[in-house]
Amino acid sequence: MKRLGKSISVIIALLIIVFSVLTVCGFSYYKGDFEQTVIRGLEDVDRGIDIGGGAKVILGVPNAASGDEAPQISTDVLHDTAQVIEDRAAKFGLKDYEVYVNRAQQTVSLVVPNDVDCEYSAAEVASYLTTYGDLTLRGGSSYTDASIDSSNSQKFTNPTEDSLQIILGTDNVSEVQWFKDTSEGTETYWVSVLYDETGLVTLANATSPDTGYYYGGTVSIWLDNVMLSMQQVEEANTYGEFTFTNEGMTQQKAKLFTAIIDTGVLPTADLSVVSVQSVAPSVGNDSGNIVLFAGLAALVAIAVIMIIRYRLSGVVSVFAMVLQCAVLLAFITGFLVDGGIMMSVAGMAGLAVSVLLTVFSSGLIAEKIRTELRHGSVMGNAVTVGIKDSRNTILDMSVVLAVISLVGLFLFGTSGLSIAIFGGSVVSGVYNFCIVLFIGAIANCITGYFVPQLMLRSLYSFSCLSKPSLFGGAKK
Amino acid sequence: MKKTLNFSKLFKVMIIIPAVILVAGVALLAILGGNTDPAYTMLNLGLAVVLKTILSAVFAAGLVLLYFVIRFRKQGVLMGLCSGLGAAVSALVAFFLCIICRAPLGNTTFATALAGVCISYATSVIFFSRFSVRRSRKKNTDNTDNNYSEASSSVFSTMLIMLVIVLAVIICGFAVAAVFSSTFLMLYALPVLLSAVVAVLFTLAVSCRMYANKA
Repeated sequence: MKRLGKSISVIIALLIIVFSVLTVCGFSYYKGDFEQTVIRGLEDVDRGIDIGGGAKVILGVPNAASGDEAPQISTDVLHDTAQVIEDRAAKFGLKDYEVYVNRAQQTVSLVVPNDVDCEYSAAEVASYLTTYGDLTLRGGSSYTDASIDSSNSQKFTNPTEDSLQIILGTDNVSEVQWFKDTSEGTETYWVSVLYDETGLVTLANATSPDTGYYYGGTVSIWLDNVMLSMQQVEEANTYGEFTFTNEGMTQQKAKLFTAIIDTGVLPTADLSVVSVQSVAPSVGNDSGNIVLFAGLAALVAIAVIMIIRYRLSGVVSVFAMVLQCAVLLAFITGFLVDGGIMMSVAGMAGLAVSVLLTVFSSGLIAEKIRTELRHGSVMGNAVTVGIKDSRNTILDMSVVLAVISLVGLFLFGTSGLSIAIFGGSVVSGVYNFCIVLFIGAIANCITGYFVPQLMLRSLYSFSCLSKPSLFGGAKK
Repeated sequence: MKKTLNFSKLFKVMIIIPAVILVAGVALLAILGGNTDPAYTMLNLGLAVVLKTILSAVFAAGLVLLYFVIRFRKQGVLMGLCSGLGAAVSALVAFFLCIICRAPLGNTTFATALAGVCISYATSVIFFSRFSVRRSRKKNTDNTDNNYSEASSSVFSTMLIMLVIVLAVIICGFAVAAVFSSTFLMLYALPVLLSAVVAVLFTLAVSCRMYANKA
C-alpha cells in the first residue's frame, strides 16, 4: 500500500474541523429585519417530546364529569378514534407524537412536540389533528367570530346566516391533495378536493350561470366550524374539483389540512377537546444543556481513552469520530435544506451507537497496527496489514447495522409499508433511532475506514511521526 | 506470559446470567407490572408494537442471514443463525434489565434493546472475521478450540477497549444527568451499560462458541 503525501492528512483534518464547526454553529445572515439561514446548526435541531416537551390535547365527552346525560363511548370507538388520529399524524409527516386511550375516563389524548414543523403552535396542530374533520362546502361566507390564530393569520369561525346552507359534505369527497403553484412568480399552496359523481353534479348545478343559486355569489369551505377559504363563483364548476387557498396558507398548513380531510371524520362526534395541556420534557427542564454536556463529556472521554491506548492512531480515530458526529448532525439538522429529523432520546441513542461504530471501526485498524508493531513488523507493513485486515470487517459491520436499521425504518416509520400493515406509527422513537443508525452505518464506510486509512497512510510519511511507539508499538 | 480470558469456561456462566436476568425480569413484570409509559398501555396499539417488534426481528435476522450467505457462502447460514441468537438474547436482556431497574418502558426501552442488538452483531462480525482468518492461515480446521480461543481473545481485547469506552460514555451521561437532576436518563444508565457487557460476553462465549464448534 502506497504512502500518501504529507499534506493529505493535514487537508483532511482541516476539512473535518471546518465541516464540524459549520454543522455545530450553522451560518446565517440578516437581510433587512429577516434572518436568512444558509446552514442549519445545532440550534436548529427540532427536538422531540422527551427532549423539547410538547402540547397535549385530550378528547373526551364534555359533560362526562357531571354525569348529566353523558353519552357512553365504547372502547372500540375510542380505539378507532385513536387510529384515525394516528393516521392523520402519520400522513401529516409527524415524526414524533403519542396517542393514547384512557378507557376509564373515556378520553383519547394526542401529544405533539413543541418543535413541530408547522407555522401553527403545537397546541393548534394537536387541536386540528383531533378535530372531528367534517369538511363542508357552504353557500355564502358569513361567520360570527374572527380572531388571530397561532400563526398570526386571520381565523373565521362559526358559520351563520347564508353559510348555514351546506352544498356538499364530507361524504362526497373522493380524493384530496395539496400542490404548489408558482405560475404568478410567487409560491402559493393549494388544497384540491375532488368530489364523487353526486358531488360533481351538485357542484355543477349550484354554480351554473343558468340554474345555479350561487353563481355570482360566494361559497366557502369549512373544516368543522373553521372557515378555510371563501371564493367568488365566476364560472360554473363542472369538473367536480374544488381548490382552495388562503392568505396564510403554507406548505405545512396545506399538508395538515390534506391529512385531516384525507382520513375522513372521527368515528364519533361526541368526543371534543376537553383539555389542552403543556407537557414537560421527560429528560428534564434543562434538556438542551443535559444533551449538550453529556455529548461533549462522552466525546472527550472517548478521545482520551483512544489517544492513551493507540497514540497517533487514536488521534486519527478522534478525527473519524468527530467527522461521524458532524455528518450525523448535518443529517439531523438538514444542513443546507429546510428539513432534517426530529431528535428524541431514542435518536440520541442511535447517534451514540453510530459514533461507537466509527470508534469500533477506526479502533479495529488501530488495534491491528498496534498488534503488528508489537509482533515486530516495520511501520509501513503494520499500517498496510492494519488497513487491509480491517476493511472487510468494517464493511460487514456497516452493512449488518444498515440492514437492521432499514427494517426498523420500514416497520416503525411512517412509510407506506408501515401504514399499510399497521395504520399510523406508534413507536416514533424507534424510527428516530433507526434513521440515525442507518445514516451512521452508511457514513461509517467513509468515516470509519476511508478517512482513517487516508490519514494513517499520510501520517507515517512524516519522518518524525513514523516511530512505532507513536502508533502503540513497543518503544524499542 | 500474558493472561487472557478463557471463553470456553465462560460458556455456562454466560448462559446462566442472561437466564437469571430473563427470569427475574419476567417475575418482576408479573408481580409489579412494568413501569410503563401511558402510550403503551392500551390494548390494540400495544399489540401493534409487539407485532412490529416480532416482525422486524424476524425480517432483520433473515436479511442479515441472507447477507452472510452471500458474503460467506455455506458458512453464512451458521453465522447468521448464531449471530441472530446472540442478538435476540441481547435484546431480551436489555429489555428485562430496563424492567428490573424500573426504567420507564417506552421508546427509550426499544432503543436500549436495539443498541444491545447492534453491539452483539458487531461483536459477531468481528469474531467471524478473525476466526475465518485464523483458520485459513493455519490451514488447520480440526483445531477448533485453539482457533476459537485465539479469535475470541483477540476480539475481546478489542471489545474490552470498546466496553471501557461505553462505560466512560455512560458514566459521563450519568454524571451530567445527576448534575441536572434528570432521573429519566439516570434510570437508563445501568440497563444500557449492563446490556452492552452481557451482549459482548454472551455473543463471544455462547453464540460464537456454538459457531466455532459447528463450523
